[in-house]
Amino acid sequence: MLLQVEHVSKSFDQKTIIKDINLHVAQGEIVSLLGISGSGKTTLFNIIAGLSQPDSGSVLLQDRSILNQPGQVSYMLQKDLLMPYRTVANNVILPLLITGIKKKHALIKAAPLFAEFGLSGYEDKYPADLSGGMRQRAALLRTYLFDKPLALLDEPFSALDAITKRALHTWYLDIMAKIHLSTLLITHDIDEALVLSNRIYVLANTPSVISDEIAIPKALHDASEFELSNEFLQLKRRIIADLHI
Amino acid sequence: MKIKLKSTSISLLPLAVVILVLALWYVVTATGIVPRFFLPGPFDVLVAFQEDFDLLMANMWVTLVEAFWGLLLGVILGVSIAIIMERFDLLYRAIYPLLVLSQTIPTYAIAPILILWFGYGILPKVLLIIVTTFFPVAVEMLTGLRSADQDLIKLMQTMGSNRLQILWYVKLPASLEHFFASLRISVSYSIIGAVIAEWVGGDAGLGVYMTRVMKVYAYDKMFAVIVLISLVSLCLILGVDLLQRLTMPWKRGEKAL
Repeated sequence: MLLQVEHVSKSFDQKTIIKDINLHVAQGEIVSLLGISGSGKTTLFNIIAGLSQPDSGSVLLQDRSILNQPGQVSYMLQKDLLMPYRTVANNVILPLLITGIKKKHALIKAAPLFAEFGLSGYEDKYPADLSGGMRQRAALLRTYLFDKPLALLDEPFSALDAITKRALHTWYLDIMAKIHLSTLLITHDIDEALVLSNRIYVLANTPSVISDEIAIPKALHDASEFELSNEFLQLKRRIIADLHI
Repeated sequence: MKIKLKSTSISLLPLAVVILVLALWYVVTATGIVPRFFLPGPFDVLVAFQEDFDLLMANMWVTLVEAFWGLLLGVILGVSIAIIMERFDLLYRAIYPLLVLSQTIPTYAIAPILILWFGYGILPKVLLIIVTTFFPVAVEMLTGLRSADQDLIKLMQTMGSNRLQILWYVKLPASLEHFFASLRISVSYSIIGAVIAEWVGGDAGLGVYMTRVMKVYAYDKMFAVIVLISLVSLCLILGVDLLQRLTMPWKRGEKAL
């Protein structure tokens, strides 16, 4: 198993945010963590990313504990967080520079990926010259260049307008089919979770616990117009019931 | 590379005002409304400037060298203090109030003390300039370092970056604009500081030239040197603008600069 989160709980000021969370991500899987705002999704992500410590429980990446160890998994946030003062190319190679790779080598390594991520010709532009969708793609390329076995995406598409978001979903599935980046995705968008993931964990109640786990068979994703199918609606109904909304 | 200076885009209105003032100045002196020995005319100043050109340039060079070293060291000190205060909160709380307090001391009043301690050479001048220039830089840099995006810092942490990398990749770039704002102030402080230090004691420099022409009541030369000092300050400020444009190319498209 790639990522294994076991019995993780965390409280702030005597208030339990997440309680006894168990989840796993297999190699090459896209797994969503679905929950309403304030359900502790980001708290859990911070723990997996090594930025904060759980009160109890363990986090294993490839059977090794990564508690309190930042830099083990890639992380992408809702804001693209591209540095306005660095060109697109210099932005995406940042994780390589951090690990001590020389700039020249980092640029060579990144060069073939710009086309893949729909950013050809924008290498030397500044982020301000890019559209919202392109900026998010650049942020994803940067995440990919972290070159870690698992990527944590914290609501990566939620700041985009509906149309751009849809286009980016399609693009995302295409690119994932090529790069096979194992992903744990936070979202509060039920449709997004259903369209993008192999499995969905639903976070509900206070304090948050995993209230449901839904596997989406590959056949459904491959079917045309999955989003308009009955199966889609049934799954959506189930999630809505899980969330008590 | 196309670089357009900020000043060229300003309308011609201020220029018109300057011409008007010069014309008025000429009229009141040429007609004798104000006596010549009291206020020299604009052309007298021009002639004085031309007569003493070599002397002015030689003295200007001395002043510029003092200003350069003082400013350089003042900026290094200011940036260092800001970085240290941002990193260690305890030091911030210990130093910052003292820094503010230090600005209540009239720095030009300590010039004689510096001369007394360190003689008539370049050292007391450079020290005085350091004292006057480091403060704006330290305060602005601190604001700049603290303005860095916290989410970006968090992202850098998830990449496993250390404090030095966060400083280099996030905090310092975030404070560039603040830095240049303070540099613009410090540059003019450095020239003024040098001139005042030369007034108190020295054997060369625009300040020394000033005290000499004042003692012989050569007001035309006095005006000439004042104009020269303003011009030098103006050129240096434009130089800072240019430097900022070269250092921050991503801002070129924006109107803010």
